Amino acid sequence: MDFLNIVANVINPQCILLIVVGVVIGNVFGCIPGLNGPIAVALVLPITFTLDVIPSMALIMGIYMGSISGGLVSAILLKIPGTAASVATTFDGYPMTQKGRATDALSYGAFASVFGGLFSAIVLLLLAPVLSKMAIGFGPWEYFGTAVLALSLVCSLLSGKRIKAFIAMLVGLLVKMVGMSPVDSVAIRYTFGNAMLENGFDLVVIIIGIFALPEIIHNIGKINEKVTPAKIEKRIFFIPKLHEIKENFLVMIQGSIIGTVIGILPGMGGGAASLISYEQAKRTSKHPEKFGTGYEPGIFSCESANNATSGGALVPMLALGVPGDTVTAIIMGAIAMQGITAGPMLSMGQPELFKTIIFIVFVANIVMYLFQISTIRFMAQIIKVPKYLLFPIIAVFCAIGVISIRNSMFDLFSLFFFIVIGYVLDKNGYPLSPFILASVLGTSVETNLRRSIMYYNSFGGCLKQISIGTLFFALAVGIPAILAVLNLVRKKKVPVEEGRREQG
Amino acid sequence: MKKRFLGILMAAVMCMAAGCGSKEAPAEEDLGTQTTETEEADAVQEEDAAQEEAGQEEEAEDGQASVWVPEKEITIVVPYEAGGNTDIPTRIFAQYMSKYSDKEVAITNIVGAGGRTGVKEVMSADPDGYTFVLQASGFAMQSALGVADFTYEDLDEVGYFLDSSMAIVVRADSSYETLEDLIEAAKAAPGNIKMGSVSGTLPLFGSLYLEEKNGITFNNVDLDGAAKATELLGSRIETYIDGFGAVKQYIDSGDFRCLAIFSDTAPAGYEDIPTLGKLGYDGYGYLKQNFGIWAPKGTDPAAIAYVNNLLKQAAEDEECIAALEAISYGACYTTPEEHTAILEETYAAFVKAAEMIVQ
Repeated sequence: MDFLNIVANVINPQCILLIVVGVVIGNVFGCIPGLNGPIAVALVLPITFTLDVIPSMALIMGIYMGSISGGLVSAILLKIPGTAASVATTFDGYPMTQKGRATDALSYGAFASVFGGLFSAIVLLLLAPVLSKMAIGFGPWEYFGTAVLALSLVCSLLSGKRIKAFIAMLVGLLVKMVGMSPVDSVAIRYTFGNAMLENGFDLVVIIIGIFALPEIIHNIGKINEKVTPAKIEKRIFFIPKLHEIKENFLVMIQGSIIGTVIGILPGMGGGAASLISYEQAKRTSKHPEKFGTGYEPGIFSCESANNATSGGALVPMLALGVPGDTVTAIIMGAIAMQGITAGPMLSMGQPELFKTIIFIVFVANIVMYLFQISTIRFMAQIIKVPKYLLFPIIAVFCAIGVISIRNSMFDLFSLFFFIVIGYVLDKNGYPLSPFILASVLGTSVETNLRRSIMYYNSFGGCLKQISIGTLFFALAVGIPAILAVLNLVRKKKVPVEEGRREQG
Repeated sequence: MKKRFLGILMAAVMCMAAGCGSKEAPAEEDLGTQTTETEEADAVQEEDAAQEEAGQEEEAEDGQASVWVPEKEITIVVPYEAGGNTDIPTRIFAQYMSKYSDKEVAITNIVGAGGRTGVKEVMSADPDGYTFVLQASGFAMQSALGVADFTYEDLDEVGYFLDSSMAIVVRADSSYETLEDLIEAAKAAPGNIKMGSVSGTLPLFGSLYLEEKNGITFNNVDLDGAAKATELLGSRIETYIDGFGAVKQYIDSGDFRCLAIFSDTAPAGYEDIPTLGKLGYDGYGYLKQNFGIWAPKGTDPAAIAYVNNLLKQAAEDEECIAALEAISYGACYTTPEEHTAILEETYAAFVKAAEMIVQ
């Protein structure tokens, strides 16, 4: 009976309509650079005050799920990641588009998204109270260790370019240090007296500057090349073939687990999840060399991971009252406006509402999937637009998106700065994913290091802690060190010339 | 040919730009920052004209200097995240202000630099009586610490509307049964008890207050503003101070025990929790989390009086009081003059308290 009640709460015209509206809004916000899920949720927040709890959750969850997957469309078709979460999607998605397989790439992305979303929703339903213990176990030192390990691993996995990867990562950390120091807000760093820099650079500005626009500059040389775009099939729904799902099933499970776990940890987010999942898939793959050339598992791994963070982020919010990311923080606010406090009392005191919210997540994921696979046909038309028309439009879009973040022209100037950095790094063979991951995690690394030192009085005091944080930190330092030693040993054996080529 | 291409290109760009604009417009309207569409605006203006006339008549009758009536919506800038601890009660309150106002009272979030970005934005805004900013207790502190380069003298006070008290909590299975136990433990091991607070916020001053009154030192550690409870749940700290509304649910769920509330009276339903007043402390008045409204310097006193009146009506609205009580906030009301006087005191108290940090 309980279950029927929950279904009846959600499966009614009002709720379904709100979910559909939410998914559409979320998708639009997700695929336009500069706009994102948190902005969309914040914009509809006042509307939810006039609704009851369940309809307002329907609208917000629709937007949340829609915005996370919306990013894949622009990432795959245009190589413009709308948010950090879809950065990794561009690695294999865009090469597939270039090979004329845009619709395939979109259908894989959509499928992996719904897979990750549903996976994490099931985890949320079954294990929320248990998993929330994990969030409790993580303090500043553990977050610091995890973030540093993530950075170190992403660099170490880029074999052949490791030194350049570490340089790119450090430049990313340096860029994230611009502005007021975290924790005490006393030191103002690298601003050269410019007050606009005190808040640092916005992540979206960095991502658009590093990824989207250098790609356009890169392509201008080929602007008049005649390419006959692949024919777009007139199918209504684009679903991956059964054998493709089978082949990538394990990759998706792995991505979903990584996404869910990272989602549970406040402050990590979809950007870190998808990049780590992508590198992990590459590491465990039989054909790591195919990644980055339009290889299917590349899309399956990162899209399942970034959607799985949504369910993960809801775990600590619903079970502990601690939001896992920006959107869940706003959702908590929206629930509070209804007079309900998310936290330990919610699952105990109102189990039906708790389960209804999770059921909404399920339905929203399915609606999102149906919406995406049925719009692939229209979305893919973008690639038919000639480049001399498309590029200026994208550039204008990016510029408007960047200005709209804080209504600040200064962000537009910093965009130019990052275009230069992105172009120079890319032209010189520096990998961009460590740079992006460093700008995603930079603040978290710094803040949590400072907090850890406050907790244990000194850095040495932190290292004496017997905790997962110490282990992760040791691995983060140890793995690159071992790789470096191995490299030196090997270099001694082979002639110098060859060694150089290997490293380059 | 070239010209045609250029034409198409321009058209396409304009379409995109326009499309983008129209996409954002309804969304912004949702937030309530967009002005109404022209037709509506016309109608509204007529209405306003009528109202103004009525206002003038009243004025003549009352013989007052001028009665200010808004012609468009009034915006209160909340300098913190939407959906946060400050945003939610303010939004609830603004709903009830709208109820008594001729025009909508809307909330906009301008976030950054511990709330200072929003305040500075409003300081440089046109003092036309349509833009206000939320005044949180944090600004007095930031000014005392030298982080904020403005004080209450750089803005005009409109009035307080909300207050809430802080609470000091420990884990329910902790050996500290009372505040006295905690203080004894801190005396025995100076600088060893990990006391959590978000740096540069009121709870840190709560901790400093306890240190100063009892001659003890805590190890004051910084907490993540969004995940304060997890640190105590995970036993990485011994105790922390936060708004009572924020820790209430953990007290209800039996995870935390509240050692004391920083006020004279305990909130309804929690009368068995000792207050600092009952424990014999004094001079903690500046440690209240209260929210007021500021206007840009030079705002028409009549406009301030109008908004102050809205604050009063909303603070007396029973539904409003109940809605705020549900999230452990209390509505209150002061005149602009009282607001200035309280701020003057608070700023002075924080300057004194900040000396303890700087030492």
